[in-house]
Amino acid sequence: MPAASVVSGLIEHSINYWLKTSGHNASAPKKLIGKIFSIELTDIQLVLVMQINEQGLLNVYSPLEGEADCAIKTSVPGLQKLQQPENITALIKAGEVDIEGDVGLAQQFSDWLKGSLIYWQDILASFTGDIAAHHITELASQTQRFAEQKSADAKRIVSHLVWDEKKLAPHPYEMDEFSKQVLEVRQACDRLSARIEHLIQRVETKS
Amino acid sequence: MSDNSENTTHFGYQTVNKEEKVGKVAEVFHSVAAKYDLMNDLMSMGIHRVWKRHTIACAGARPGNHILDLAGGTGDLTAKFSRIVGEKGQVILADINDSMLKVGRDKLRDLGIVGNVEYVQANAEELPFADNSFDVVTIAFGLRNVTDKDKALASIYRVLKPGGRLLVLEFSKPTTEGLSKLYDWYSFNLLPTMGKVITNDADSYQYLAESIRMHPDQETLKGMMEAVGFEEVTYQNLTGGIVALHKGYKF
Repeated sequence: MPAASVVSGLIEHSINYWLKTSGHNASAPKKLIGKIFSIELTDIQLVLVMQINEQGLLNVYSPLEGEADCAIKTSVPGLQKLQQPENITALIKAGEVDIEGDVGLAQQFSDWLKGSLIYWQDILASFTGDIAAHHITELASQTQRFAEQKSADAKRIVSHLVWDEKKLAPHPYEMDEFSKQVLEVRQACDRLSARIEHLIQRVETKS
Repeated sequence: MSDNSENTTHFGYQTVNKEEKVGKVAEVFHSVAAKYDLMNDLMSMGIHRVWKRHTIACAGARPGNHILDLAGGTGDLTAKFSRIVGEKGQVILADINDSMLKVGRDKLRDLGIVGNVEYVQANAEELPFADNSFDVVTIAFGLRNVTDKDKALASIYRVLKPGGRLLVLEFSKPTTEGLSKLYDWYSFNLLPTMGKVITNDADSYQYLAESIRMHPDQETLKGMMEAVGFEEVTYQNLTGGIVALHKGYKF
């Protein structure tokens, strides 16, 4: 699919621009050079093949020909979840992520890429100058806080609507109470069946 | 008549002697070499970069590979391959036309691509390399201009290592009627005019449009590749068949 080549081209140019401007390409781990990583995003049917070259820059291609040193198959939401390394095992178990090859290499690769992010204010300042960069950073973090606040508000409003106002779903407390009652009934049942069992045995031994 | 056709070939829509074609094609490329990259971008609206990128992905090159970029012209593919194969690999940029080769060499050196790239002026029909020397051979927008295509394909087959592959990126036949008409109009009206304005050379671009029409279509080229020994030959139409990427292996 040549459309994938457009996407891979854009990604390659932007990442390489980033790496060059930040100078992070100079710190590419030797072990990673020449290694091939492939990421298959099943939901948008996109395969990206990445390779770090000797200049510490990335070659990004699509499709994959031959074998990769580490192949990751997941979806876009799965990829976002993968950003927390502690999730990897859970995601693999849940079948959301499929990894073939050397996971350690992929981990090192993503750590190195993420490492470049600490330079982002410097890169911004190289375009805009220090003062503007500071203001933009400030504005961005304010926007982020505002967005988080709004999303928390929205969640609260929806749950209020669902649980209390329209009563579309039981409130978590009701749910707890209900499960507790179910548990009690089950325990009572168990006790009763044990007692019946016991009585039957007694009757049988007597007769 | 049959006697005659053995010694002649087509140069665009004209029929010329086989010996003449090499010279005429050379003339075309000598005259466009300096502005070749600019014209490519304008004529294809930048899409040629996507086609080439796709070709690179399909080449499956790995560090340490030996790659021949045949009719490589101004070195677009070579630049990318050089970064993939690394220090231990080697890329040879070959072209029959020394003007194109010079432009390519200057361009790559300016980009800092040195060390694993070599430049060879070679005729695709008689490749000056040992048998079984390359992991990948690519010929992008070059096969069309070769006088004896079968001989060139056989020569490529010879220099490929067993397990190696050939990628032919070349203009082909659009798959839908509508696109075909639009494309014809574009290439016979707009293209020579653009060539005239930018390079002051309408004839070369007239030749380009004509040579594309004379080039074998997808299935014919596939057959030609199979005839010289390539196996598992497949092709993929890009941009509605305006361009096709043929891939074949030597086992």
